[in-house]
Amino acid sequence: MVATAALLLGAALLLNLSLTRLTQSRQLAFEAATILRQAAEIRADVRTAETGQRGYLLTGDLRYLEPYNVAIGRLWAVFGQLQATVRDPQQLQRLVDLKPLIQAKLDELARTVELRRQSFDAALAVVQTDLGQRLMEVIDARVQELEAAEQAILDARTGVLENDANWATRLASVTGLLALLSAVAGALWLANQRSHARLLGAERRFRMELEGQVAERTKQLTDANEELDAFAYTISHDLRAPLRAMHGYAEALAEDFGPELPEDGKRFTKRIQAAATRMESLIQDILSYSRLAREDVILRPVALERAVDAVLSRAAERIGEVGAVIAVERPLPDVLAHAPTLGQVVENLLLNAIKFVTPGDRPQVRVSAEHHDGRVRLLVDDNGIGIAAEHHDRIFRPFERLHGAETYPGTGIGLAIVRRGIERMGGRVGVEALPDQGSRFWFELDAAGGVEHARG
Amino acid sequence: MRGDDDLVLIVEDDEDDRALIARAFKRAKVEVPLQFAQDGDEALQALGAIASGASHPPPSVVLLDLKLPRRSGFEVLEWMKQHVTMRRVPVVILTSSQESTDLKRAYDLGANSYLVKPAKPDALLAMVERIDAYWLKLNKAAAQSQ
Repeated sequence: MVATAALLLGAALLLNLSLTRLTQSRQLAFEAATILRQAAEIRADVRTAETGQRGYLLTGDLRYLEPYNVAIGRLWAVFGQLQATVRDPQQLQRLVDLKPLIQAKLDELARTVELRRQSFDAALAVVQTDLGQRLMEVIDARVQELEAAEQAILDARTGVLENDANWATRLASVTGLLALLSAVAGALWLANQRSHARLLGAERRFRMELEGQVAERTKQLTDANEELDAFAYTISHDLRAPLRAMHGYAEALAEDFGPELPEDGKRFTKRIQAAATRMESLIQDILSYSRLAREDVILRPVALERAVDAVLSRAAERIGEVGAVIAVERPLPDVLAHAPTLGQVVENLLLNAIKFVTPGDRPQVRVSAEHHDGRVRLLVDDNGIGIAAEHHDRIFRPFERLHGAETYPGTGIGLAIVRRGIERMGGRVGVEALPDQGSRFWFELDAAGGVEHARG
Repeated sequence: MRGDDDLVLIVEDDEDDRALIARAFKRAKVEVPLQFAQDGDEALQALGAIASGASHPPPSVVLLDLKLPRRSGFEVLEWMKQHVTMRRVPVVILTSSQESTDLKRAYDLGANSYLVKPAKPDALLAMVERIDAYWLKLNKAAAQSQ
């Protein structure tokens, strides 16, 4: 746009300049033409004067002196005009040179006319000296020279004129073309702007629509998630009442009527109790898992070592049952965590570590921590059955089981609780394990810096 | 140590839970009269009758479920803690809710204890023994010595 405007302005200025020059050229050409005409008039007047002089000389008739007088009278006037018109220094010089010659010629003519008045022969004698003839030839030659020079000037000027005219024409054309191009470009630009604006508008509408859709979908998903969690909670909650009853009555049956029951009756009662126990832990895990999604997790500095010790004391019975050896590399650093969630995470990891061993093996577990870059990584190494690499992701999902409940009883939610719990606390969780080579479970949390964080 | 005016009010809507709690009291050999209310309204009626002096003196302890038909355990608790003759009766929340919000609300309203209903009968028995030891014996002795 700016470039086009600049070009147009430049073209207009050039055209103006060119037109001015054209006017000047025309003026100059006109002047040259005038000079040529005047030069021709002067030559003609000299000739007319001479012709008149001859006629008078020959006839003595005074009528012949009439054109002679007219020519002489006009000649100097024209000469004066010519001198005023001529501006070329060389031409001026030629005029200066020409003037005495003409004067000499006119003097000669006047002298012969004067002599003729006295006697024909005396005049004839002057004419016959051939001086007048030679003067005339010189004058002719000089005037022709002047004319040729002026013609050259005129030609040059005409050339310039034509050139200028051509230039002006071209410039005018170019300017016109530029103006046209500018108009087209402007129109295109405008159209482009308009379509651009239209595109932008369309894009904005599309984006807003998309954002709306995403927000809506997110809300739907969040709602669905919340609904699912609430559903899980309610079901788990309400399932516990009849479960308590099953458990309680099975026990009452065994206690109050145990002696009267046949062996199978006792066995069945035990199976009912075992099933109720299993269901209770399943419900407990589902509740924990869904509660982790719903409840606020406030992070505070927590002594990791105390959390581990609390778990060891809570699980002392179970640890004793399987004869597990758990070594804790003390001291363990403090972390930013939600204490109950951290406790549950550590408990699930430790119970897992002592559970998944080859039957008959004594579980050996090592708990250690690494501390760098403001993060604390707790490592739980075991001598268990390990996990194939393709299952490393699966095991952290709820209800994923790699083994039958007969071999390794459990709900299949323990590690899902670990992952959700750690992620709610802004941490990461992972496993490094190969089959038959033990497993290393780890989680990473921010080291305690005394700053409190709330995570919704 | 145990007076004749001892009474435990158990507010519980689940029939099985009521039966199992009663059985646990029996097994723990806590021989104290148990009065049952099946919902919040019934609990308030019983407590209202006691407060007006029409019947028994205030209970030694109230075992209160939270999720009840018609009137929730929270409302019963609130009423009790605002009522002059009931204010000092210990209230033990006995619920299946493990929600921290429920726990906080119960304590804010003046509950004296918050227990989650045990799944296993052994645990229920142990719980009844603790209630007896603390609320029926120790607390009662402390209240009488005042």
